[in-house]
Amino acid sequence: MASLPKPDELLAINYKPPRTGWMDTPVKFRRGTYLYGAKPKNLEAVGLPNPREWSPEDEDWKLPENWREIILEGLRERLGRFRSLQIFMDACVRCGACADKCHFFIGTGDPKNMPVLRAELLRSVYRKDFTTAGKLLGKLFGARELTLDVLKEWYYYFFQCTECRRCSVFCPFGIDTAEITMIARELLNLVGCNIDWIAAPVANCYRTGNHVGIEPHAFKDMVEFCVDEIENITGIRVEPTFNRKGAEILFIAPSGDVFADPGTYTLMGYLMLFHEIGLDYTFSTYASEGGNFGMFTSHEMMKRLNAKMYAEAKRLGVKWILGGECGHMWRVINQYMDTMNGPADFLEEPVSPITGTKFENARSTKMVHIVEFTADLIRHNKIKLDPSRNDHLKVTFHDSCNPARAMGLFEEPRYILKNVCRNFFEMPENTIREQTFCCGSGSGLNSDEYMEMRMRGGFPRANAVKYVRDKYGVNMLACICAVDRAVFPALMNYWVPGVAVAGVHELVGNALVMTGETARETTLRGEPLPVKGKEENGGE
Amino acid sequence: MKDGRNNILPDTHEILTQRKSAILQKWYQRILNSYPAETARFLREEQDPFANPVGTTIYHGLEGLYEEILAKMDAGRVRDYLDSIIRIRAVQDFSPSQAVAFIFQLKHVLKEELAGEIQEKGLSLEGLEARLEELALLAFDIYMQCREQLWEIKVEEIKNRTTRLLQRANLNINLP
Repeated sequence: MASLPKPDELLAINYKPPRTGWMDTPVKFRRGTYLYGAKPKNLEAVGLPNPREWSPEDEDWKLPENWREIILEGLRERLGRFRSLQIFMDACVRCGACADKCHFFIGTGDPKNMPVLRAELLRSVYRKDFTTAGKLLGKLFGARELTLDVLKEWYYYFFQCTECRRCSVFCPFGIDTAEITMIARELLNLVGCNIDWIAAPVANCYRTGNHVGIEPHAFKDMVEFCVDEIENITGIRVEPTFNRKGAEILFIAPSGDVFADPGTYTLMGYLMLFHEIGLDYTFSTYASEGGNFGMFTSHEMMKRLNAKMYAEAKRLGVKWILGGECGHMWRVINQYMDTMNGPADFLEEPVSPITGTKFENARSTKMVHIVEFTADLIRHNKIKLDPSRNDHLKVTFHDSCNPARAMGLFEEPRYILKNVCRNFFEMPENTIREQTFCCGSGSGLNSDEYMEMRMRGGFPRANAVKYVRDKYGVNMLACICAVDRAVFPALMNYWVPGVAVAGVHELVGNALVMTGETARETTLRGEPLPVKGKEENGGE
Repeated sequence: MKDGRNNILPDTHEILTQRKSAILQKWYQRILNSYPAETARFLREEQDPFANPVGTTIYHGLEGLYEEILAKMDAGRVRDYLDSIIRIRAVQDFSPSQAVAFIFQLKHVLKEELAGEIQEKGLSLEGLEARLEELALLAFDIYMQCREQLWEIKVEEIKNRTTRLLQRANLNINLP
């Protein structure tokens, strides 16, 4: 008992954060706020360097002896390869426009999450070794040595950026901080410092074609599980095909939609829609993943994993590719694919077989977003919808970062939602469309060991959802990204209880009137359908 | 929440109402001081509740709590206001004591802000301090609930990721 502090000692808590400058404050790895290091087998699977057992909490990260030279040489090489990187390193005038735009800064209150400062973590090392002023003036010029503490700081903060690009929207110079993070992660990978939540999906995807490592028979089996569910609800047996040569279209969805709720309901929506319009399509059990965690590893890995989709399209002899509700897959397709694996000349310019619409925007990549495809069907009156089946829902829409900021897909999902449900409400203007707030778990950070940090990063988004829940009674958060569907249930549970999460095509599936269907009694989730005539309050 | 002991005397109540704005600002500043200076500046200055959810939520929470302390301490409302603040601090980089310390900080603020009245008019803060003690106990409950919920969410997420896979592998394991 003698060692117990006295009450006033207990109250004498030091509330003040450390007073050392940012360059001299090393990070502390505390459980819940960092991601586990890559396991050796996952690095070995794709030939990435320095596979070993390690933990970020360890003092010794078991780096190669010449790790410093490896990273600096890697940076030198990339400065030469990517003109954009050189510009991003030199152009920033630290105006601060980006500083308070990052959801991680807003949620954590940690200044190193200001995009400008996150970039400085790399820029300071660049200055020291690649600029004359930095070499001569050192700290006075914002330059510092690459030390082990700096490397650990990189790991902590570059895996605390979701590459959502909200900050880039506000940068007057157009600096893409997400690309700085991408390069920093590439450099970390040169010495084996990836996180396992990225390395494992990459290894799985490379071996089996999807993040979870579902093998072809199991993949087929899991899709057929959804087929059974659809039959129970609608009385109709939809008949998806797998690896079918000569199909007109190859359909690729994120694998999250195949194996985890609520993504599975979105998959049911796709299957029902394709059946109803009689689409000639096939799944590939090898290109069974839309997501591309290679993008969070290196350019080479992104290219390597993206290539399988086009290889499968070629092997199966399809005309074009239709892609599901995935997030970063679309950033890869829309911004990188064409100069990495494209142009996909062996495919045809996508044309909707139902409406005849030419998707000119996909002329080169030959890959169409399902939301564009479905919006076009609705626009041409090709499907029958009964939005009253979603009357129990008050829906808001989260613009998933990548489709929003990497391809400008703002109107199509809203157009669909307004046709399939009657209660739609927008979140505040500065939290949607190009200003959308990230879910806080993108770019490979959606691991459970990171829950505490995810709650911080997702708070700005959750706060906007809370507003529409309290104001309009919103109870459904719709989105078009599999990571969103995987992580929002947790985020909503903590910050905004009472709000469920759905893909847009789940709501399409609910509303879709299928030819020959039995009277529906439940939604795709097996919940009883709303009683007609009740709850007919219109949306906005 | 009233047991007679924690009634605030009418004189004290009047002064606390008159000085609300100044006291609240100081209280808010104390909580902001637990963040790095750059962050504190942003949290204080950005007024848009969607651009600055942490700052605005904490401020509204403090304001609500202050009003409740002076009024009837409605259990539901007090809980909601406390929850709004603690829910944020429970997942930020704070120890449990740092996360809930803001309640005790009001004592310091009042003693500082009302030093004159306390000395000259013999102003008593006893009733108010008793109410703050109640808040502190409640804060402890809420903090623990938030942390427990975080772990429950983690377990739920892992279950959700694996249940379908286990089903398809014909492993009929009943996860409760």
